[in-house]
Amino acid sequence: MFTVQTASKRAAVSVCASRARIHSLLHIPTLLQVASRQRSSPVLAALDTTSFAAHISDKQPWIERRGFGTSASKAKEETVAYKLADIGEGITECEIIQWFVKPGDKVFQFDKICEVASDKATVEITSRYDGVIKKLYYADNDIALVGKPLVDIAVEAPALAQQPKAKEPAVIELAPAVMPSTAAAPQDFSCERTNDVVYATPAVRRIAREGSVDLRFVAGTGKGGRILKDDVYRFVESSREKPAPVEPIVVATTVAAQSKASRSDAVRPGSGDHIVNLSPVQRAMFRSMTDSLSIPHFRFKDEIEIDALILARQRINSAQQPQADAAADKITLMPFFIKATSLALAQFPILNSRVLAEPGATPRLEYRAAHNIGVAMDTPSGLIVPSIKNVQDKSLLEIAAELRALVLRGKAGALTSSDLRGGTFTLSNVGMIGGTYLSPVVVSSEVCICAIGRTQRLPRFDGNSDRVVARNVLVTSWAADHRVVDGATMARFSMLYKQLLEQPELMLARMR
Amino acid sequence: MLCRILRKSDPESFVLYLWRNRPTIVIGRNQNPWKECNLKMMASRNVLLARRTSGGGSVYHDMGNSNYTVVMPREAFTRDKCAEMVSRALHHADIPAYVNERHDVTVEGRKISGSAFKLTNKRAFHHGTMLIDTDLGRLHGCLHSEAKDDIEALGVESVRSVVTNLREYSLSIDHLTFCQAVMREFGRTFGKLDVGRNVTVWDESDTDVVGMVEEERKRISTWKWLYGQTPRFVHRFGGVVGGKPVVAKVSVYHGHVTEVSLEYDAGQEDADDCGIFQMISDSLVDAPYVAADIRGCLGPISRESPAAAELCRWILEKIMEAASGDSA
Repeated sequence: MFTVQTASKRAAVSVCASRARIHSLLHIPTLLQVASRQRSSPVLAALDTTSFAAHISDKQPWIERRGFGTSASKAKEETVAYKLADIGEGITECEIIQWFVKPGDKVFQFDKICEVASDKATVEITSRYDGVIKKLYYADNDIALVGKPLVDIAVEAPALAQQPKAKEPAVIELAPAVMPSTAAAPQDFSCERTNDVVYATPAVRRIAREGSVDLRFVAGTGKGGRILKDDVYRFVESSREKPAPVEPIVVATTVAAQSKASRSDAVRPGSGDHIVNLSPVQRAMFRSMTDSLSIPHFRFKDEIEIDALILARQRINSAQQPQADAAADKITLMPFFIKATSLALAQFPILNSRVLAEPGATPRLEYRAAHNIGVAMDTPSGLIVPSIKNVQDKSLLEIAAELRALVLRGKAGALTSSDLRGGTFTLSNVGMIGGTYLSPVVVSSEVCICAIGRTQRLPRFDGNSDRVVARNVLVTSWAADHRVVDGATMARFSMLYKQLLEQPELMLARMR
Repeated sequence: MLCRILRKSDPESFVLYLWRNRPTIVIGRNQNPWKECNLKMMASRNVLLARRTSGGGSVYHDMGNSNYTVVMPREAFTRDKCAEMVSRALHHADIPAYVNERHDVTVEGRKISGSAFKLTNKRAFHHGTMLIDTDLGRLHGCLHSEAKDDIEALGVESVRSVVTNLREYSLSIDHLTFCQAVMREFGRTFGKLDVGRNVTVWDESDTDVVGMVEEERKRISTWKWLYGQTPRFVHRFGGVVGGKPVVAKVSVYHGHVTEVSLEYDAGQEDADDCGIFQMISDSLVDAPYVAADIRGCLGPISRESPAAAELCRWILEKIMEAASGDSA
């Protein structure tokens, strides 16, 4: 949990450990690194809404990964014929290689029961229940059939009343669950998206999943709106009684809601209109965006050929020495963009200023000496813009190191308020995701913003000749507060920026 | 080592493990070494025997064969995923590999890699071989058992395929380039692989790793694991002894004889014969199915009578064809 508060009323938000969009500077959200999979507490389960996870996405369904024992509220014993679950791969029978238990043994959930083999795979079958083994249905080397009883276990817990179709954590990727009442599109509990938070323990989620219940529509009666097992049972009962489409009962507790259009490509199955209050994060964004949109934007876009820059970076990286116990740190192009911004700002300090406009007083401009360049990044907590302070005094390598540190802190959700405060200019490298021509929104405590688009290899004429060569081109999209910045200033700034990046030696000439 | 990696690695991680070893035949978890490989030839050529914990058929390893294993979360497992990853890695080396319907990596219809899998509750692994420059003659020789047709066994039988070496398709490929190609493709398929941080190379100087390997080696070299884990089988063989055609049936369970039945084809056993048959049967029960032990058991009986001696010699000869393995 952390509170983000900046002097300029950016977003006074208290965020729980779930996703929150604190800033939406751009129409396309910015990504600087992939948000890793969630590690939230057991109570707040799978809310990993990384739609940009192009890399590792383990597509984890809501399956409890830790061994939560079944809650034995009644001490009644019941012998269950534990069937050999579908082990996937279309296998219908397999040979028992080895038993790990015998009748009379006590087993816990997830203990090994036996090992079976099919043509190429050996599979360990684990117990689903806590209990005592009563009977083994097969001997060593017998062929066991999938779906038929494997062992008898005497179990205590009452949760068996549900008697689910025995499903091991699936080898099949995701189990789509369908709303019982509406014939809506099957929802999958993948990490791609959810809109709301529901509080329910993994055991309750399992029951819900097996009963094909969408927990967002279940009213929770537990502490803090938590959904209990009985709530799910009741819901199933009530939906059975009413075959007509059920109007969804208000979601248990909504703490954070996604607001980006790109995220909500889902999934409220059409079950009637309903009104929901804005979440705290949405309210903050509403305020800050409203502030920003009072700024008339002057927009300027220009192409930059970055071949020389790429070469310079390669040279710098190959000269990097490995540190004591780590590999050599390679820098990306971002430090170049950041430093060039600062060098250009030295010529055009107005773009690093801030508008002071109290109602009733005459507006004034505050020029700021420090170039604190904010870098938009996507973190587990949402879109955040920490800033690198005093870029004017830092070398490329120092900027790169600080950027790396910020990224790591951002990933770990450990950014401090000093990281997030005091920015004077903002850069966004949306090109990492895509987008060529962008329209960023100026932050209300600043007067200028730049969005860097995707690098493309494009044909260009070489100098004045008719010869066509391949060049690496990206587009920088600028936006400035037109109340204080005129078009010519923005254009000249952009031309200088372009020059610095196309001829990196010029950056060298200006470095202090 | 594999089991350790399987059980000890982070449940969410994907681990790639690459290695190779001296000439060894590796049989699947519940296969029958007597049926799958030529134990006599292996002994004479100094080829070791090993049994792995994943299923599948028998393979021949030598230093021209590289092994890869990918350990991953159970939910991420599919049979083709890693085979396809390896095929893609080979494409970068200009080798037109593809995955066939048996989930093997193949080039031009010939198998270059075999796969096996193990699934536990949380993790799964896929491991496979890659024939780069293997001695195919020895491969065929060791994987062909004389007693193959005589043994009727439960457990998985190997499916034989035509094999070939990668050497036929590329002069520059070797263990190192193969490993690098696979690592790169692994990083591309499963996420960022920071070469500096996540890649470890083990050799003899890593004493703790060597210690672990030594422990594992002891565990999997026991006769009980190598031979004793064999499911029930029956070894049937016939011949002519003393002018009379005879048929023998030896039942073996977990590597030890459980029952021996002998009879003359034409059913002309007399009382003496029955007596001898009975003695042979009794002496062999519970013996490990290994030539040396069988010889020891039959020794006293062969001294009973010339007929008995001949019978014992014949039985031993037949069993020797299959059971030349090391003693228990």
